[in-house]
Amino acid sequence: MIRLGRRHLFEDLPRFFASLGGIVFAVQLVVVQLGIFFGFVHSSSLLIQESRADFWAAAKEMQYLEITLPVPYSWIAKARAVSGVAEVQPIIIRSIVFENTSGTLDYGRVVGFDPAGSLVHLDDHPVGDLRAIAKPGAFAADAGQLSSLGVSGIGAEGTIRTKKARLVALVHDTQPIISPTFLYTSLRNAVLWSPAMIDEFVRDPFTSSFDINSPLNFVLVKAKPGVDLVALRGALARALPNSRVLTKAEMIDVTQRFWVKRTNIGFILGLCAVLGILVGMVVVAQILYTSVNEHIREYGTLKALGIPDRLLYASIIWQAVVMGLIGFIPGLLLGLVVAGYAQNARGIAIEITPPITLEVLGLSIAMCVVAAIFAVRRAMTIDPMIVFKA
Amino acid sequence: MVGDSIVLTYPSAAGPVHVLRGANIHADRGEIVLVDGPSGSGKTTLLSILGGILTPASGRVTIEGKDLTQMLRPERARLRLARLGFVFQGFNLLRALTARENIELPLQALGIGRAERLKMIDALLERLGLADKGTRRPAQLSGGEQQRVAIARALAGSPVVVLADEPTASLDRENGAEVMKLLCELARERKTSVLIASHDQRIAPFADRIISLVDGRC
Repeated sequence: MIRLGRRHLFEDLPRFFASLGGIVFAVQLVVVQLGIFFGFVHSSSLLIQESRADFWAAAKEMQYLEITLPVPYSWIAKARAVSGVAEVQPIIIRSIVFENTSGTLDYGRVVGFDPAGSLVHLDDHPVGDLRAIAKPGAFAADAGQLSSLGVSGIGAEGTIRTKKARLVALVHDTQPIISPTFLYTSLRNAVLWSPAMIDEFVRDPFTSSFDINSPLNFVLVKAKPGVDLVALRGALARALPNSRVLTKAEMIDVTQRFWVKRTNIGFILGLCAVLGILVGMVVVAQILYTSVNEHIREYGTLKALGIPDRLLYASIIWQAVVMGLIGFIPGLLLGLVVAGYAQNARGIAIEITPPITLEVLGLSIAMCVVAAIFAVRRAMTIDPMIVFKA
Repeated sequence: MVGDSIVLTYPSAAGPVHVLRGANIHADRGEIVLVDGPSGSGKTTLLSILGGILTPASGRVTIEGKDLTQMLRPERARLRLARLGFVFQGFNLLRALTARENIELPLQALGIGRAERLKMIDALLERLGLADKGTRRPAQLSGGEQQRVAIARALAGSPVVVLADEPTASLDRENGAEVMKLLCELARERKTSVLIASHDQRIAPFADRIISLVDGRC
C-alpha cells in the first residue's frame, strides 16, 4: 500500500509541488517564529549567561535583569566578608537617553561595571579597545545597535544627560532583541549618565560620581574553588539583608521567564507559528482530500476486495508524512536564509538550533498527519458499492 | 456458497423499493453459475450481498458454513480478502500500479511472502497470456488484457468463490469470449466457484447452471 501511496503522491507532479509550496511556507514560518522566540528569550539573558559569576545578588523585589531596586554599596564589602567568596563585583543598570551628533535620540540602558574585573564578560574578540570604557565618557555597544544609536562606528560621539559619550568598542551577541540599546561602561560613567536617583539628587545630580554612597543594582559573586555553593548562597543571603541571591542559572531563568510570562511577546510569536501551521495544514488537507476524491473508485475497489482499512489509511498517512518530510528541508533552508538576513541586516538573533530543527521537523510531520485526517475520513466513508457502477 | 431467502428493500420517496424478495442461490465447489436477468432486476445487488458488501434486510449468506450476515464489517472484509475474488464490469484496476502490482495487492494484504507472491503472479500472468505485460500499467493494456489482469487479481489469493459482475460488458465479442474461457478454465482447475451476474447470453455456454432473477426472486 505504501507503493500505492507513493504513486498517488508523485503521479501529478504540479499538484505535488503546489502542496510542497504550502508546506515549505508553513515550515519556514514556524521555523522563523520559533527561532525568533527562542532567539529573543535567549538574548534577554545574554549578559547573565556570559558572566563568570556564581551568584547574582539583588534587591528582593527584583523582577528580572532590567527591573530591580537599588541596593546599597555596602553590599560589596558584606559579600566580600563572607567566607568562601573569591570575588565580588557590582553592576549598575539604569535607563538613559543617548543623543547623537545629529540630535537623534535613542533610549538605552547603561550597564556599568568594573572593566578590570573578571565577572562581567562581554566578548573575547571585541572591535576596538574594550578596556577603554574605563575612560571618562567612554562606552561600548553591540555591533548590531549602531543604527539604533544613529552612529557609524567606533569614535562616534553623542551626549547622555549633557555629558559627552564616546563609542570606543563594539562587542557581539550581547544585546537583548527587545531591550533598549545596552551601553557598556564603567561604574563611574554609569552613575554620571544615569537619571538621578533621589539620594544623588540630594547630593549633586550633575557632578555625582561613583562612590561609597552610590546605589548598585546587582552584586556578582564568584565562589572560591571547591566551596559548597549551597552553603555559600545561604551565607550570602544572611549577610545581605532583604536580598535575593540567585545562582547564575536561576537568574537566567528569572529573566527569561519574565519575558515569556509577563509580556505578550511569547503569545504573539506563538500565534504566528500556529497560523503558519494552520496554513500548512489547510494546504496538505486540501491536496490529500482531492487525491482521495480523485481515486475514490480505486479506494472503493480496495475496500471491496477486502484490503484492511488500516492499510488504506496508512497509504494516505504515508503520503502526508512524506510531504511533511520533503517540505521540511526547503522550509528549513528558507528559514535559515531569513534568519541569516535578520542577523546581518538588523543583528536580530533568530535561533535555529538542532533541537528547534528537530521540533519543527516533528511539528511539520504532525501537521501533515493531522491534515491527512480529513482525507482518511473521506476514505472511511467510501461505499464499496461504488465499484459495481461501470 | 449459499444465499438463503435474501431480502433487500430500499426506502424511496415513492415508498419502499423491493429489490430482492427472497432470493435463493447456491454454488457448489468449482461450479460456474450464471445469474441471469434483465437490467435492474437486482443481479448486482444480489452479488454485492453475496460478497458481504451489502447487508440484506433478512436472509443468510454462508460461505464454507460461515454466515456472512452475522459478521461485523471488518470480519466480512477479512473474509472477502481471504475467500472471495471479484471481477468487475469496469475492470477496476489501480491505474497507478502495473499489472503485476495490481495482482500483488491482495497477496500482500494476505501477508504472503514476497518470493511466493512473485511465483504466484508469474504463474497467473503466464496462464493468462500476459507474461510480457506484467510491467505495464492499465492504461497501456487493452480492455481484454485489463480484464484478464482483473481475473488474475481475483484468483491470486486462491478464493473459494469468484463473484463476477458483467465481466464481458465492456468487451467486444471476441475478447469477451476469451476472458470467459480463461476465467472458467482457471476456476475449474482451481475448483473455485464462480457466480456471474450478467444479461449477456453469450456467457450462458460457459456456465454449469443458469439461475434467472425475476421480480427479486430466484
